[in-house]
Amino acid sequence: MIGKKERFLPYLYIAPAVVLMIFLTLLPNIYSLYIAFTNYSLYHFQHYDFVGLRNFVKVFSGSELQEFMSVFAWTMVWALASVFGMVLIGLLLAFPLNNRYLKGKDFYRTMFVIPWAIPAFITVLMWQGILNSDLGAVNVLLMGLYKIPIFHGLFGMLDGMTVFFYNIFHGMHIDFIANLLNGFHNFLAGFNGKIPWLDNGNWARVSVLIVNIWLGFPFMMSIIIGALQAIPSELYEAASVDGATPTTQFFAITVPLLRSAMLPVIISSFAFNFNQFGSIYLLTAGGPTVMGRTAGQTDILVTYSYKLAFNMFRFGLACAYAVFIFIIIASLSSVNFKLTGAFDD
Amino acid sequence: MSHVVLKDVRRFFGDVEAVKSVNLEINKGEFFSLLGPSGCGKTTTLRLIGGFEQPSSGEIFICGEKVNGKPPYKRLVNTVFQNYALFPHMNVYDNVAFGLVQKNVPKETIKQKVSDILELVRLSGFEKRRIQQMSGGQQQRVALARALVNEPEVLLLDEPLGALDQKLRKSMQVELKQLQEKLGITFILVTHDQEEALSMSDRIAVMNEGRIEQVGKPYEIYEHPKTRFVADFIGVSNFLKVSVKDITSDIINLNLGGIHLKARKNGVPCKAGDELEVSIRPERLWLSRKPDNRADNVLKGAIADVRFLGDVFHYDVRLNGNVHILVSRQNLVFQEDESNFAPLAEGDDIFLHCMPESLKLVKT
Repeated sequence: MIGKKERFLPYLYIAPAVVLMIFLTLLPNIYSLYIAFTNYSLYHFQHYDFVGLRNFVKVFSGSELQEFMSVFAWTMVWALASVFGMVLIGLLLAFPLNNRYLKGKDFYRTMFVIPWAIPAFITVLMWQGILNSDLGAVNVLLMGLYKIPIFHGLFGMLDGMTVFFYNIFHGMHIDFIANLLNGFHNFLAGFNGKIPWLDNGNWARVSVLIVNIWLGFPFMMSIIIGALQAIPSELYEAASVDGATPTTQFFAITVPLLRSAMLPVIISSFAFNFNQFGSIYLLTAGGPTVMGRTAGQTDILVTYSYKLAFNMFRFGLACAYAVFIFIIIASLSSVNFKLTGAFDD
Repeated sequence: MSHVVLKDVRRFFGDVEAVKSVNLEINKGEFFSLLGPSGCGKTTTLRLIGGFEQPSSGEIFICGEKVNGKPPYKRLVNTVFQNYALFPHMNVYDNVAFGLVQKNVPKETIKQKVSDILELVRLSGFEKRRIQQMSGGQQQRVALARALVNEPEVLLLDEPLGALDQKLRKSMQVELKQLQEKLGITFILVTHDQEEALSMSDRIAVMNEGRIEQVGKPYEIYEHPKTRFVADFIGVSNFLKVSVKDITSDIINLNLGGIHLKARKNGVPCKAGDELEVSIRPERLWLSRKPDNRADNVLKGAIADVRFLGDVFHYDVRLNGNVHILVSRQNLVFQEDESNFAPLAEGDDIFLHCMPESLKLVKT
C-alpha cells in the first residue's frame, strides 16, 4: 500500500528540474511563438494585435523575400563550409595524432585543443583585433612581407599569370572564369599587403569562416581521434591476414567505420553552426552593411533575426524568423535521431 | 615432418619476456591446444605463428618453410579472432569474400567458394544479413567461414568460444571438432578453459609464465601431470607434502606425518630422504566408515564439510595435522553398498583409500 506521501514524493524530486524547464525553456518559446503571430513592434509597442500569418507571409514576399533569400543562402554556405572546414582540418590532424609512434603526442593534442578550451567570446574578440585592417597582426605581418622584394616580385608574377589566363579565358568567352580572374587581378593590382579582412563583404565572409573553423576544429579532431581509436585493431589484423594492403585497409575499414561514427556528429555540427550566433556577432556584428538593406553581408538567419528584434524592434517578424529556424533545426535533428537511433531503446 | 615447428622461440615486450624459449612440433591435421591461465604467453605464441608478432629470437617453420619476418598473409595460416573481428559495416557475404577479393579471385569463383563455405558452417541463406543481426554463435561461424574460405593449411583460433554462453559453447565445441576432422587441416586453439582443451584436442601444450610445462594427449596430461602446475591447473588435485622413506623396484614408500603411503614410480626423480609433494585427484579416493584393508593406502580423517553439487558430492576431509583433502564421490547408489548409503555428514569419522597409481609425485 503506497501512502499519500510516497505517491507525492517522486514529483517533488523532479520538481526543480521541471520548474526550471518550464520557466527557462517552455514559456519563453511559447511566448515567442505567440509573438510571431502578432504585430508587436516599435509602432505597436503597448497595444499589439494578433495578425495571423502576416509575419510569415511577409518573410516570403516583397523586399523582405530578397533579404531572406540572401541571408538564407549565406547561412547554408556558412554552415556547410564551417562543418567541411572543421572536419577536413580535424581529419588532417587526427590521423597523425592517432599514430602510436608519434612522439610528444600529448603536447600537440593540448596545443590543438586550446581554441576549444578558451572561452569563445574572448578569442573571437582577439581575432577581431588580429584581423583589423590597419593595426591587426595579420596585416602588419603581410605589409612587412610585401616590402621584401622577393615577395613583391612574387605578387607581381602572380598578377602577371592572372592577366595571362584572363586573356585566354576572355578570348574563349568563358565569362564566369574570366570575371573571377579579373576580380583577382584587381585585387592583386591594388595589393600592398593590406587585406580588408572585416571591411569588405567577401573578405569578411572568409574571415568569419576562418575564425569559426578555428573555433570548431579541435572538437572534430577529438571526435575523429576517438572514432579512430574505437575501431578494434583486430579488424586491421583480420584484414591483413587476408592480404589487404594498408591502402585497402584504409578504404575498406577506416573510411566506412569513420563515416558511420561521424555522420551524426556532422549533422548536429551543421545544426549548431547554422545557429552559431557568437562567431559572427562578435567578429563583424553581421557587417559590413549594405546600403538599403537590414541584413549585413555576414548576417546569418539567427543574427539577422536578432537585428530585426533588437535594432529594428520588429519583434513579430523576428519571431517568425525564429520559428522558421526552429523548423529547419528540428527537421535536421529528427533526421539525426533517426540515423543514430537515439530514440530506439 | 611436423607441420608447424617452433624452435627456441622467445618474445620480449620491453623487459618482459612473454614467451620463454618455446619448442613445439605440431603435426599435420592435428587439433592442438595451447592451454594456460591468462598472461601465460599462449596468445603471444599464437600471434607469433600467425605473423602478428615477430619472435625476438628463435625460428618458426610452417609446412617446412621458415616464416620469420613474413607478414601474416604470406603464411599458409588464417586466424579466427577472439571477438571475431568481423567487419561491422559489411554483410555476411562481403565478410567471407573479403580475402578472396584481395587476391583478385574471379567473381564467379568467389561466389561458388563463399556459398560452399557458408554451407559448411550451416549459414546458407544468410549471405545478405548484416553482422549486427546475427547471434553470437552465428557470428562465430561467419568468422570461421571467413578464415576457412582462404583454404589455410593451419587455422589459428584465439579463444574462439570465449564470448559464447555455456550451452552454445558446448555445442560449438562439438561442431568445431567435427569441422576440423572433416577438413583435415591443422587447428591451433588458444584457450584458458581446460574442459574445452581436454574435450577437443588431439594434443595439448600447457603453458605457464611464458614456458611450456607439458605437452601431451589430454588423457596423459590429466593422468600423468609432470609438474605441480599442470596437476593443479588441469582438473582438481590435492597436494600432500611427504618425505621419501625408501624406493623398491616400482614402489616408492612415503611418509605423510607418520602415515605410510605407497606410490607407483612415475619418472619423477627422487631418492630416500627427499621432501616432496604428491598429487591426488579427488575422484581417485574412496571413502568408507570402516577401513578397507584391501587397499594399499589408508588414511583416517573426519569430514569437515559436505558440498552437494547434484551429480557429485564434494567432501572436505580433515586428516591428522590439519591437512585437508578434497574427495569427490559420484551420487551413485549400489544395492550392496547399503552401509555407505547413509549420507555422510560433517563431523563423521571416515577412512580414505587410494591406489598407489593414483599418487603422483610432481616436480615443484
